[in-house]
Amino acid sequence: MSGKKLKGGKKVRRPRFAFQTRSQVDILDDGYRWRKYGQKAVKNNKFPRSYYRCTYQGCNVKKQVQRLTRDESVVVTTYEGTHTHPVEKSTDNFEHILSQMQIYPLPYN
Amino acid sequence: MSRGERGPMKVVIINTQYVETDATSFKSVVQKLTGKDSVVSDYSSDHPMKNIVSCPHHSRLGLGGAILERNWSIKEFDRLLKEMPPVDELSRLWD
Repeated sequence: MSGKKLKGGKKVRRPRFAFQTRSQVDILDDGYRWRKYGQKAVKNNKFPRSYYRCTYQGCNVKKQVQRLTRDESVVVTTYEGTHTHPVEKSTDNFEHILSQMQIYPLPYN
Repeated sequence: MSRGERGPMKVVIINTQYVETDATSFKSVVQKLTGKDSVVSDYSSDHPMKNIVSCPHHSRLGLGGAILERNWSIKEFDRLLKEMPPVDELSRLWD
């Protein structure tokens, strides 16, 4: 369970939201870009839990993805933190996907 | 509990709120709760969502002559089509 490390006996709350969504796909598009940094087996659950971090520079938001054993059609995506940046513009995301497919010949400046 | 030299007690509060969504509304609700302009304590308000923020510059893909290198799967096509902006916005990509 992630929490927040603190100094000096202070209390800090960090918002955390667990989204339960009926989906065949583990990774649901939320408009942000993520990089996986861990995976581990979970007790009493046949599915592993994956850990992701927002790739935006300086943004600390993390998420975990876990499919439920008691209802395998449901995936739980747990977000912690608030983004420091706006969502990608729709054209930016489109270009990002195109770049991943490497079909996009662009003239250099 | 004696802590000796380790300093005062640290208290961590983990507060998880559970949200049920369907796959189609997932994106908008996630952005509403975790996005930059989110008003976390005010989830039930009727705030219009400020999703689309204008970027100061167009991102450029410096691929310069990349060639189609691999076969696409249907999944990749689907994703591309899903993310495709409206046609009039598309022309801006090629300016």
